[in-house]
Amino acid sequence: MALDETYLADLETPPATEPLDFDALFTPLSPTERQVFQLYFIDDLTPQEIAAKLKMKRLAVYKHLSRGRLKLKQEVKQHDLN
Amino acid sequence: MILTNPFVEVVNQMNGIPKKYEPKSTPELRQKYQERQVALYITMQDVLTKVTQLLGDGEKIVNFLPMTNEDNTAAATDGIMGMYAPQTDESKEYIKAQDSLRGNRLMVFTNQRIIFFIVVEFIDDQSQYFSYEYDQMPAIKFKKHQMKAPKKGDIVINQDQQTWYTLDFETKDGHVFQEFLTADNGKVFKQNLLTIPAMSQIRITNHATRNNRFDLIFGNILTGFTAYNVLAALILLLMLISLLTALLGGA
Repeated sequence: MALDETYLADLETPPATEPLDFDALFTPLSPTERQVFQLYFIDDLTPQEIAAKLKMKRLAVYKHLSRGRLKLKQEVKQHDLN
Repeated sequence: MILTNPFVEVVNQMNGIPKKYEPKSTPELRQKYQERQVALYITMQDVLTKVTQLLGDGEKIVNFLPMTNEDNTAAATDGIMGMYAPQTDESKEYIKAQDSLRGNRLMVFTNQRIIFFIVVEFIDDQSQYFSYEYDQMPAIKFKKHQMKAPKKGDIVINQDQQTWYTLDFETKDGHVFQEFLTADNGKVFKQNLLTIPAMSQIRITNHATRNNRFDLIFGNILTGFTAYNVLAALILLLMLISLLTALLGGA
């Protein structure tokens, strides 16, 4: 079954099965943020597990996730402007 | 529980996820599943047409997140005992074909908001949906849980790791949403956190966030559950004390 494509978002809508190009996506992030993103979004670890692995506080993991996602948003905005 | 509910598979196909054939245990179940699947394809086409009518200017659908009583929970969004009285012929046909009342629920992620509805309600009345704008959500509790459980039809020795997620948020205007997501739901949600720019300002937490303390106590199913357990324990304790007093007094 296909939905009328007029209503489907184009750029930000990879089908759920199509693997995201994480390397490209995570380019704007700092090395630590990239590590945190890798563990959270790809390896599906919990913030507690990430904190233990990277020897940081759980709150710091959440902060990296929030800041990183804002950076990605800025990148999308920049991309749209260009 | 409906053993032959095709809702998740039908919605997954709408998301572009290829069909995952799960063999049913008997030919009768297989046939029933296929009958329901065909009926649901037709119903969902109509539902999608109605959903597209809700979209604003520049609003696009990103993907869909299916929820059922079989895979998710009936505790938070299924309503009082999951009851429903159909009002139109279309919803009556849906209930007859799917043997389901409020069990099938759909979360539609757009680039601006989440639209959530119970399928049968939405079939009856197009205004029966909840709209959660991303900029109205300061924080979302998205917490992963894991538990070891016996494999289906197996003895306790062979165990599978079961994964589920809690999704919980309150919008700035006081709408609370709580639900348990399956592992597959969780993957879709995580992908959306990364790929929907409007979601990037939402803080992800591992605890429920509410606008005020009243909502934290009375608008939180987990607090309610804890309070219920504490109350039940207190009543049990009082009963035991009364019983012991009566016994000792009698002796």
